[in-house]
Amino acid sequence: MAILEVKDVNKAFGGLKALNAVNLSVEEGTVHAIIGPNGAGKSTLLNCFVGRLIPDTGSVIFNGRSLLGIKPHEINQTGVARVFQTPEIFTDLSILENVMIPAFAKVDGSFRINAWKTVGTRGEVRDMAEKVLEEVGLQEKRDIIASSLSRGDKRRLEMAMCLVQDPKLLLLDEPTAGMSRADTNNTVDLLQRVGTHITKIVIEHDMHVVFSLADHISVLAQGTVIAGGKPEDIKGNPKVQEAYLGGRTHECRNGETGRNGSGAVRGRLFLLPGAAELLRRELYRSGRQLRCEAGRDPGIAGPERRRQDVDAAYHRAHGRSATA
Amino acid sequence: MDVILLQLLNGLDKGGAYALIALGLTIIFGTLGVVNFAHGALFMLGAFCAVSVQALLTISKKVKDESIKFFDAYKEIPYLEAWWGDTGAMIIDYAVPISILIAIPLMLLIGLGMERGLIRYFYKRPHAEQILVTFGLAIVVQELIKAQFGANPIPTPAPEVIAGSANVGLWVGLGESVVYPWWRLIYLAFAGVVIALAFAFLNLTTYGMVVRAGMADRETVGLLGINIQRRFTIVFGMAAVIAGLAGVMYTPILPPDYHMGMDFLVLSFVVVVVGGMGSLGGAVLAGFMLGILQSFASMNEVKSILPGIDQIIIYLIAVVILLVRPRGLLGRKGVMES
Amino acid sequence: MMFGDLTRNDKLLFLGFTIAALAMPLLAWPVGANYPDLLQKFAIYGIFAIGFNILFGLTGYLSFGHAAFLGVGSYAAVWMFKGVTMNVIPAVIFGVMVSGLFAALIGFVSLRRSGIYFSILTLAFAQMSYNLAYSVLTPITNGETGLQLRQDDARILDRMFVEQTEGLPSTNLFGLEMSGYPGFYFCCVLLIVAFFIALRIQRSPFGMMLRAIKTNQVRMNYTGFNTRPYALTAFIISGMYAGLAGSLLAVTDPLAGAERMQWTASGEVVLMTILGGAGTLVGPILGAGLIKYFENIFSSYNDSLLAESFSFLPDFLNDALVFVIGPFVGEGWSLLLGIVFMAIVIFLPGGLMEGLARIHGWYRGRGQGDAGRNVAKQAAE
Repeated sequence: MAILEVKDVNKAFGGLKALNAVNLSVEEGTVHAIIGPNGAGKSTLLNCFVGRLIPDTGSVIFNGRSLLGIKPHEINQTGVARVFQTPEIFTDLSILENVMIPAFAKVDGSFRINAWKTVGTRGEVRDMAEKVLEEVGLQEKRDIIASSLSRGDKRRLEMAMCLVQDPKLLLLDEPTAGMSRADTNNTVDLLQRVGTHITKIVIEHDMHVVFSLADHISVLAQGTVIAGGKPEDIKGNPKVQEAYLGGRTHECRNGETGRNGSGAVRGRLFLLPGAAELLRRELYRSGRQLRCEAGRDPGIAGPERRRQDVDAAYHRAHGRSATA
Repeated sequence: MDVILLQLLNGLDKGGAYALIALGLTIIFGTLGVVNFAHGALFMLGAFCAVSVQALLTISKKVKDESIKFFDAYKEIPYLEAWWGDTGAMIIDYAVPISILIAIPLMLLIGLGMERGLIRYFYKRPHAEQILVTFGLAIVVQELIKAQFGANPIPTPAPEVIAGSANVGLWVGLGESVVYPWWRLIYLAFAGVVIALAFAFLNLTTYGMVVRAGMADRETVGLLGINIQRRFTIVFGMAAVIAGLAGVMYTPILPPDYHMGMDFLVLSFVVVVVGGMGSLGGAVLAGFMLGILQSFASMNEVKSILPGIDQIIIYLIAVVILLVRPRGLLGRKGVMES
Repeated sequence: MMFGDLTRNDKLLFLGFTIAALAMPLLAWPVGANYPDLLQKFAIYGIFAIGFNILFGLTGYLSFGHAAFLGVGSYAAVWMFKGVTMNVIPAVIFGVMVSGLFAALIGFVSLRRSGIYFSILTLAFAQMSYNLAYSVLTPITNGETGLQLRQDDARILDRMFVEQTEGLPSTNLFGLEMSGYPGFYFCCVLLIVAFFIALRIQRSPFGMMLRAIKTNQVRMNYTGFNTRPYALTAFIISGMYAGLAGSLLAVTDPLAGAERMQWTASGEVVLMTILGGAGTLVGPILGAGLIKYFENIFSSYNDSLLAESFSFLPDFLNDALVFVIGPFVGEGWSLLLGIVFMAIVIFLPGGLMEGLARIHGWYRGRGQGDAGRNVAKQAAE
């Protein structure tokens, strides 16, 4: 049975179509991976599930209920939890409190003035939190302040905060981004061990992670699902090869909104019209094109820069040359 | 009709002061990302520049008053007058215009000192702490001025030549009933010129363009190898100069006292919010708009329908704006919208 | 259920606080602050600061207009005295209710924004109230003169049950006059109650949510909490505390003026909270006490008094000291306040409680590093 049904979802930012008629069906109890090159619309899609963005058209049905137009906290209360790309935790509170808070959301609902009894009287909530902390291996650290955790531990903490709610659907946005190989393996291990009954949607770049976790893979490119199926099928799909695994370099002609071989490029940076104009003129005059990975901003602005400076700045930002 | 013209002029006047202070506030917020509660104090310091210059020029010696024969009477004559006679008296008369020349370098120095000495340590701290530390600074400056100059307003008149009123009504063909003090007209023109200069600087020079680029995306401009920090410091100094000049020029209209900065600050903040945080045009537009609205709201005809409206109109507008269009009239989309 | 679920530490904290509050006249004696007027101020501003801390320290919303609720509480209480009875109980209840309603109204609007916008909105509302109190609302507030008792006030209940005497009646608790020490102890008992409620809030799940809102509002939303009603509740509670303080000001001295609502007054409570330590239970009360104490001492001094108190020193030293300290006493008290304010924000954003905790941590040999500081911070809460 499908727990999440996404039909014909479109979302445009200005002239840029981020999502183009996306259809997706997530089976209950499975791990569903969404992969695709940068700028393909993966995060946009995820944001549509949790109420951060509202699609222009289309429908998102979770467990028979539309998720469109309802607030993030209401979506969570229907059983959707989310792990962010950069861990969103309560940095000033202790680990135990960090996990107890979502447990309270589960037990007491979205708003309740329980100001008279102390937290200490709520043993059941504490037990829930401690149990999950044990599962993710943070029980030793439960009394320290969350901000002093290592990056990997913060991820694990956020995972625990979601698991304690025992959600029906868990969304993981690049759960291993920026992790070392060992930490990545730990995370994979954790996901295979804990909350196995929870349906999960994983956005991930690390193919090792994707192929060890996923039951089903959808490939997103240019805002559209170009392929979907079991991991074995995806591996051999030539379209996927071309769009994602092939690793073509993409070109962005003038540093402004444009499209290219596989992903859309957004020019966040050229906020001053004059600056963009100057840069464009400079680049055209030199007969060169600004080359950047799709979806990544080259990081250039300013009116009085010459090409060499542009190169240097780009090089500093991305560790390689901007023009070719 | 003439009443409306008069109120319009009154409003533009006040609006000019709001706009000048708000302009500096919004430049500082846009470039440095700092909420400067001490900006009103800069306005007040400008005003006291004029007071100090006047006090310096009128340092006096005691001389025997020959006109009184019955006992030994003394009168005070400023040295300037004693030395140079009428020329000296004229210099004293021109205390306010002279102080403009002195205020510019002085306020620049104060601004630079403030940024280097205090503000820069607060770039990365939460907004609440920025508000608090600048609030503390404002109190300190205000109290120092109070300790030095006392709590009472100090009259600093404009030069005698322009002490009278202009017959504005005649100019526009409305009869003689609309008269308006010359100095206020000058103030209005002055505000216009300062605003135009600030805009020209930010829009037409490459230096200003880089500053605006920095306002839009500070990190990126930094990546280009531009020392944006130094430019921002100078911009802070400029904002201080603008506020100071507004203060100097305002002294003949409103005799300065130590808490005038705070009074104007609260309103100027509201102006910035209405105009749009970080939007230069918005600050100016909202400054004049609110000044005019306030002026019209204080007409008796309006007050008789809506009692007390003149007291709260500005705040009321701010509340409505924040709720309906939180980024302000001309604010950039997404700035400070929660 | 009143105390049973508190931890041993909290029970000790509350016990200690109660004893200290009741023994305040004794404790204040060595520093010469043991007269009722000042002690009343300690208690009243302590309540104000506790309430402010619930909003600022716990929930992370910096209100710059909290004095408005103080003022409203005062006006409401004085009206109760004028209209119904000089007994303080109805006045206090009425003051708290009215400012609670007022806070609900203002909070509902202001809390639609956060961060600096929230601060400016509250500031705008407070200035609006202040201006209105001075102008249009004169029939209610008596404008610049301030609201005062009059011989011919209605006092419905009093006229029915109590024999009228010559002169203005005084506020009383069922006949016990609320001036001097009885007045202090009335405020003191309410301070203890206020502290107890704040303690319970801070230790409750509700308090935990408020702290979580302060730390990461986004996470709260995605965790399934509707944060706005939480913040609004905190705002209202905090407004009621301010109203309680305001009505107590009226109890100890039955008049109310608009200057209580001015934004400098709002700034003062921010300073008290920061000075003591925002987010801690005892800190704000400590801050309030210190500021009121030093205000009282410093603002009453002048140069000649200063010279007198240093008269045991040789003349040149005496002159030097008067020269250095002179600008900060009397009228200059606000200058000192401003400097302290800046110093605290710059060097000790956690306030005196953080300072104490650091010393404590250092003393126990783990003052180094962040971990030690965090442990110390926890200990302070």
